Amino acid sequence: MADDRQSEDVADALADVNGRRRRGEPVDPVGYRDRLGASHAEFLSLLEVDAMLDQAVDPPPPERLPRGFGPYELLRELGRGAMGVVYEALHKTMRRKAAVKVLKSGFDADPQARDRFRREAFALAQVHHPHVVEVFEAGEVEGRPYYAMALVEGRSLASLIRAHDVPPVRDLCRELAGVADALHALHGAGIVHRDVKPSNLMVRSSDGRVLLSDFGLAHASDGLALTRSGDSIGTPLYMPPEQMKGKRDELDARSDVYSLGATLYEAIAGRPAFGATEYAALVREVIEKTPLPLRRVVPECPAAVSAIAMRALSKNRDDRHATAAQLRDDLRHVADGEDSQVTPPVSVLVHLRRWAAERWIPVAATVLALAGASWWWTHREATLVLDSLPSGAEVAVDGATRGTTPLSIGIRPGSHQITLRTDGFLDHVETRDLVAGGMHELRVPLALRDPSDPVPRQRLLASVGIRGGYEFARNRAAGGPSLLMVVPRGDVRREDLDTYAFEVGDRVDFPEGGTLEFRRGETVLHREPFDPPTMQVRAPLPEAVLSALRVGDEVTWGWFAPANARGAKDVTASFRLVLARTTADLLRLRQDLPAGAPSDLIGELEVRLLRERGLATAALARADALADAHPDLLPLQVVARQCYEALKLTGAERAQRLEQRIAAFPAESLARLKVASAAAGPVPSPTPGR
Amino acid sequence: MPGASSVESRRVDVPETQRLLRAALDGGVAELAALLERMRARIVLWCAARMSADMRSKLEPEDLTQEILLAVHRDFDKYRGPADRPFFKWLFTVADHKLKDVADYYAAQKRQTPEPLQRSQASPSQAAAMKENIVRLREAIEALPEDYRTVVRLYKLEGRDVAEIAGLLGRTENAVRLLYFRALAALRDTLGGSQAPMSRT
Repeated sequence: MADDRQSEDVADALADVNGRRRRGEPVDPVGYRDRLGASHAEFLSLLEVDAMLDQAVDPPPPERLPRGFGPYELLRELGRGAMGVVYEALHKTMRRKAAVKVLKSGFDADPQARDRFRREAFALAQVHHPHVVEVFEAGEVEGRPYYAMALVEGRSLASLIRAHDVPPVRDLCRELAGVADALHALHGAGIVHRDVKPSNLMVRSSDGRVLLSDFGLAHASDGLALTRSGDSIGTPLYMPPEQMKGKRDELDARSDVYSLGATLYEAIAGRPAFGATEYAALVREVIEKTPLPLRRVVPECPAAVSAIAMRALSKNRDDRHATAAQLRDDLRHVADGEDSQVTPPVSVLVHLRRWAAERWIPVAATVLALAGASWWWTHREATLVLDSLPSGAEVAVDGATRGTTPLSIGIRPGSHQITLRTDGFLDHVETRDLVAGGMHELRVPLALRDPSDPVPRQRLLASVGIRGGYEFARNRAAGGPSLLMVVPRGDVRREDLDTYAFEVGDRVDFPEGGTLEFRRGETVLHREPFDPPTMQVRAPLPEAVLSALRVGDEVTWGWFAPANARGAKDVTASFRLVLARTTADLLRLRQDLPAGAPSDLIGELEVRLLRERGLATAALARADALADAHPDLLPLQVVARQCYEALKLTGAERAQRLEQRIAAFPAESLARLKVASAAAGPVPSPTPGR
Repeated sequence: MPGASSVESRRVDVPETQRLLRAALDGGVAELAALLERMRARIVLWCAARMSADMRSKLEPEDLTQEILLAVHRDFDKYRGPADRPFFKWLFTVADHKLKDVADYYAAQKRQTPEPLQRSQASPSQAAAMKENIVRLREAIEALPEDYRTVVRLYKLEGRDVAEIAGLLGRTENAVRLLYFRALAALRDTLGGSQAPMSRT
């Protein structure tokens, strides 16, 4: 499955994760997604094995949480995942038991982990549904985010499948119809679950109700699956092909439809839809192979149920039920014994054809399915994916509220008026023609209603996320030699530069030698002869380069072949080293900003970004310049003062000048700014004692 | 990615092993016992990776682990000294000595008695007490080809970094990373195959 290069990418990422763990830094597996693309799923599955080893030899100490945790008394640990620990707990005053999920220590300092944890609680809380585990509340105790949900007494569907204790087919269909309904409600709230599988479905022992749980992957993340006992390791069994291929933007309601279909299949067949035991083969099967029709595995399975599962398991998401609601309706028909009501699926035809083609069996009867299928084909729903900057805007379609961004909704085909609305920003109204079964995206940067209003302004600032890291870049001519370099991704703190190095791959054979060069723009910073046999190990960046670099520089870094070298064009490679997010990324960010964003907002954003990157001195320089250029803009004066404070330079002459300017503004303006800042949370600062 | 918060995140709690080690060096008896117990799974897996199949046929990794832990306990005073000597390095030096002692012992036994020695009676309970997941990992590691076992041992169990392993194995760092990647993939397939409870076709 994975070619050499993908293997190297994954190997590099694994080493990177291990390096981070050893330095005591939290690891966010999702952060490798962009870099790894289609290999991300492979990476996650290996990371689970890696984590198993770590867990075995270096088990985390029992969380030394106090028995009393905010309003709860923690009774015992129920389980732990990549980022959270779940406890059985008792609410002290309500005397009610709950399952309390707490963000692991180590992650509580990571804003992105906190954000994802909050989103998870948020996703659960959006949906009050009889088939979703109820969330009671969410909050923080001494900086540790947590949320409390109903304690479900029961077993997972996975364990029932293992014990051959699955409910009868029609009962199962009724319960899974409930789950489909819950998924539909989630989708309506703009959330894709992404991790529907038997071990995430709890079967309540009191009434046999199947409840959807574990929203750890819901919404915008598809991070490390929790390793639960009984789960196959890193299983892609329930992952739709589009997720397998790393096509993040193609994940929508139909991805969850697929996963629920795979769950249905396994519950009835008693074995997964795909049979390979070796990971790579399994991935291939998920992407390429049509599973054996359910009825061929379990002859007594009703044809309608088999049809539902096979349609939901279609490789092409357009062939699946367009919404979870359609899947729900079909499952309900079966539960009610109205098998003939099940929507005639085009995909069954396709499946039969494919299956027939694979088996060399002509299937004439499939033609009969066509008549019903054509009606469905022209009336199936379109999917509309909506997002806004900042997110959280209310979405109305033809005047009816459908949720808040980011949102993915099923919608009947035709022309619709879409309105995005949120406090402090101008309404965005747009009319879109939606095609049956189509996938439509609408991403809207919202414009500030009043640029001087600090509250929406802070919200916009807070909605801009930043990330960085290392990556390995390489250039390889087809069949030729390779050149591998460790390059920073995004920007790098000056003090971290020493940890970067260049490295040459182990299949290098350039008899001609060449030149290793570091350039800033057109200027050559450093040049040295490149002698492949002696360069096969890591070497630090040359001192000449390190001393020449300044914050904000963009450096080209590469091997340049001599003019007479064989295949010289093929082996020339250059990589850009961006030291601060002042250039390319900022420009891109500016494009994302709403038209008409005031210059002081952009300036504030730049300073904020520099500070978040740990580039405190650069931030100060930029903020200082901006404050001088716009003495009439209070936010810039305040931001500059923050920079001075962060560096403990409040006594400096230039800082005094800021104080004087700030004092000249009406106290009321300053108070407004403070209120807004408090609402949006502090600017992350690398200085200790924040 | 914790880029934005790397400074803050470095203030995470002192790892448990370090905490116990420091307390043990300060003379904490209970902490030393806890530290050794904490090392047990690590050493079991290390033995699984380090012992030859022939040796494993005579001695369970769990038994050798017990011997190693006793030796570590006995010699812990020798470890005290320079403050920041890498603990794992010392630990696995002791372990390696013990392993060689045991190998020599069996070699000598072999010369004297034609019958292979019975597996130690000492501790079937040790094996039973080991958590199920450790046993599964141990078996999966035992089933790996030798170079995979080696890289898992050096990287994960002895905690060496890639550059050091590259030096030890005479390979490039890139090759070491790839080797570890392949070892993990092999472990995954072994574990996934043995673990999948469903009757896969």
